[in-house]
Amino acid sequence: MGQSARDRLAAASDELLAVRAADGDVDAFEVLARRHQRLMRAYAWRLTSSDADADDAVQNALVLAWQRLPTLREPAAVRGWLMRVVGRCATDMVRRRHPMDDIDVVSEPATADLQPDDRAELSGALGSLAEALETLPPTQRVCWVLREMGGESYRDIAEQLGTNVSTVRGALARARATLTTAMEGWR
Amino acid sequence: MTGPEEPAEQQLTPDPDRRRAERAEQRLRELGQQLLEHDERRSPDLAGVIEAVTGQIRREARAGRDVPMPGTDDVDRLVVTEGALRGRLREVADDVPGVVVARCAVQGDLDDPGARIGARLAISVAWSLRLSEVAGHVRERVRAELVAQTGRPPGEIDVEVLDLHAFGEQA
Repeated sequence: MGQSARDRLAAASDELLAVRAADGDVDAFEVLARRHQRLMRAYAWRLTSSDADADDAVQNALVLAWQRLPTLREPAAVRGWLMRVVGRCATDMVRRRHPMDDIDVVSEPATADLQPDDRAELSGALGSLAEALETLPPTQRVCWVLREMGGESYRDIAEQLGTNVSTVRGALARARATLTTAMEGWR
Repeated sequence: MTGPEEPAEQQLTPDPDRRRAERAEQRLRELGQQLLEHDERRSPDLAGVIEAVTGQIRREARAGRDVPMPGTDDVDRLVVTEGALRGRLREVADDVPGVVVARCAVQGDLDDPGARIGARLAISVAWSLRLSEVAGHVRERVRAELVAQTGRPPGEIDVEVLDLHAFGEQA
């Protein structure tokens, strides 16, 4: 591919790239992956609280995305679709590390490998939220992040966690209560 | 995204406590989105991960069917694979100024070395260009490349313009 053709691919819409990648073109897939990697990584990190797991989740998600792209019905919505794919991969990792029996635990500080400069750089309400998220038990955090950052439905969250909707509703209510209390100073 | 199992989130209730709770929930949701945007901006570049995945994909990419060339017998038959051929056609069509290929397939009886071989392409074209002219250039280059790669007589080259894009912008 010539330089100008490469530039045009880099400037192409998500929709075009998704159609072309689904048609089997790896170059188009690579442009899509580069364009959305940071969102995928950020979401995976909030779900796993781990750099290594977030990187692995993105890697697994890209492999899966390549295989499943031909089934994507709305190529223009590929960004949200990639987010859902990486959300599933990250949730699987959390489930492997923290079996589901802790979903009903009210409060159990998580062991997060917070990036050292995270707290320093994040101040105000965002900093408080980031900190409070890390104090949630893993499954409560996962429920909240899937729901409020990923926009997933209760049913999809339940399915990903291998549980039922009322358990998810309970976990979300507890997560929201903890987070709201932590954020009281920022109303 | 919101299913029937979560109606409470979508309704405004007159109960002041409930309203307060909903406002707090909404505020949390907005902060969550802001936090994700902040995280996205400072996420590390995963170039190594992407290269590992695309490298693997390229090695495993489907070659597709064999396309035999005329004038060779079964014993030492020259073939080009369908996958490689589609890749070459994408490249030559992409090299037409203002064109980005979306889909590309070869058509015809691929197994018969004497049969005509054609192609079907869907392309996006820069909005300022004349569509018929651009499609004509694509057809010419694809036809020439098909002949060069397979040695077969050219068949139908169908070019469909999917959409128009503004060059230099994400359309």
